[in-house]
Amino acid sequence: MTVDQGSEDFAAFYERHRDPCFRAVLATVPDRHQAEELTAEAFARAWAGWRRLRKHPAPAAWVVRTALNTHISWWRRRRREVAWDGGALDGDAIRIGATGPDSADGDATAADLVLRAALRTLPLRQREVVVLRVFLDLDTKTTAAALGVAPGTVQAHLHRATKALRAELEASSEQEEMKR
Amino acid sequence: MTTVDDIEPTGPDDEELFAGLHRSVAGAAMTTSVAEVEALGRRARKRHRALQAGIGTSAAALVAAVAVLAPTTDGGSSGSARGLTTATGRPLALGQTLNIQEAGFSLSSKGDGKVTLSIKEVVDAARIQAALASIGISNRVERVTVPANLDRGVPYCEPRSGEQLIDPDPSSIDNGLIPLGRDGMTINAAGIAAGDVLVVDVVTLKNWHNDVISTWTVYKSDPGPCIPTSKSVKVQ
Repeated sequence: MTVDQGSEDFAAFYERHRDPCFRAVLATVPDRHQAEELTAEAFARAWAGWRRLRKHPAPAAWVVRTALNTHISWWRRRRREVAWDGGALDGDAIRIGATGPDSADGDATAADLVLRAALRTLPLRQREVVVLRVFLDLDTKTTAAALGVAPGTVQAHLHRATKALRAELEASSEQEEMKR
Repeated sequence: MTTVDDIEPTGPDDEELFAGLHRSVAGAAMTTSVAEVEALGRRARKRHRALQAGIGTSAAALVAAVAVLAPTTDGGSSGSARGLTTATGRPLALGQTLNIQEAGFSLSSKGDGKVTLSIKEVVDAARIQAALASIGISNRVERVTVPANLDRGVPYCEPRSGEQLIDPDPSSIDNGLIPLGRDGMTINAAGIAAGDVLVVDVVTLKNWHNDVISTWTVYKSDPGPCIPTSKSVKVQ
């Protein structure tokens, strides 16, 4: 394979998957610009290792997972720099309302933001499973292959994630009711 | 107890939830062009190659090679708390800071008795070992590659000989073609007694992400090399 063919191949992959990958990342971060940066960075790494990555069972899943992990790095760096009210945050969990509004995401409705904030409260592995299954529409087997876990593990994480999301949404809705 | 077999496939409620997630980002589109992505990739690759070649090593290099795993000679009684020392062997006073920058890693202390070791990439394990030894910490730093047959979960080193004093601390999970240094691992060096050995394992998983998990453990004596097994440890 020549370099040009490889580039063309990557370009086609990028054009086909950039928006679904971007949406998957956008759903898990509080800022649209940040989502764009993280997705671009992950695609850049995919480009750098494209010769190997093109054989991946789901390269788009690789990109999204890389972006999510890069986000942790970014978030942890930021967490050290910013003094938060309400004590230390546990791991990567961010409670609803702990972050400001999506200043760079004007199209999102309040319900969208609540749902996305709930998604951000999930542990990393559950978040990964949700974004791969829901936003990239991967089946259990491919998701398992992309994450290097057993299909049963994917099912278990998805089950826990949906349960946690529903609980978080119910709690948020009750809070809204009380405010009224 | 719930088993995987008990878990039902997604139901109507879940479908509604998933549809809501889809709606929450519907229409969002990326504006970065493929040319910009390729330029980013080229820059990252250049940085990675420079790092591998050892370019960018700061002037704060190690003063001298120190014997790895050499017993300390601080004169403290066995089991007493260790005082950090400078590269020349003088005690690092409380409040005295430390900042060693090397290719792929850094070692720093704010003078509170805690040492932060940040590993971006193990370019040379011996350099990390020497850096830790230079401040008086007997240690073993090793890069562990997981065999291909251990392709699931997080590998675990065979129970090693020697008494384990501090449990393994999975400090970071890195991924990507270029493993990234995260916060690094904060090691309470003041709590490591004379004669104890700090073991840092940098484990590369043989998966598509080449995930790298760095852990540190303190042993009563050198436990020998890590032999990965398929037993998984929970990292989150």
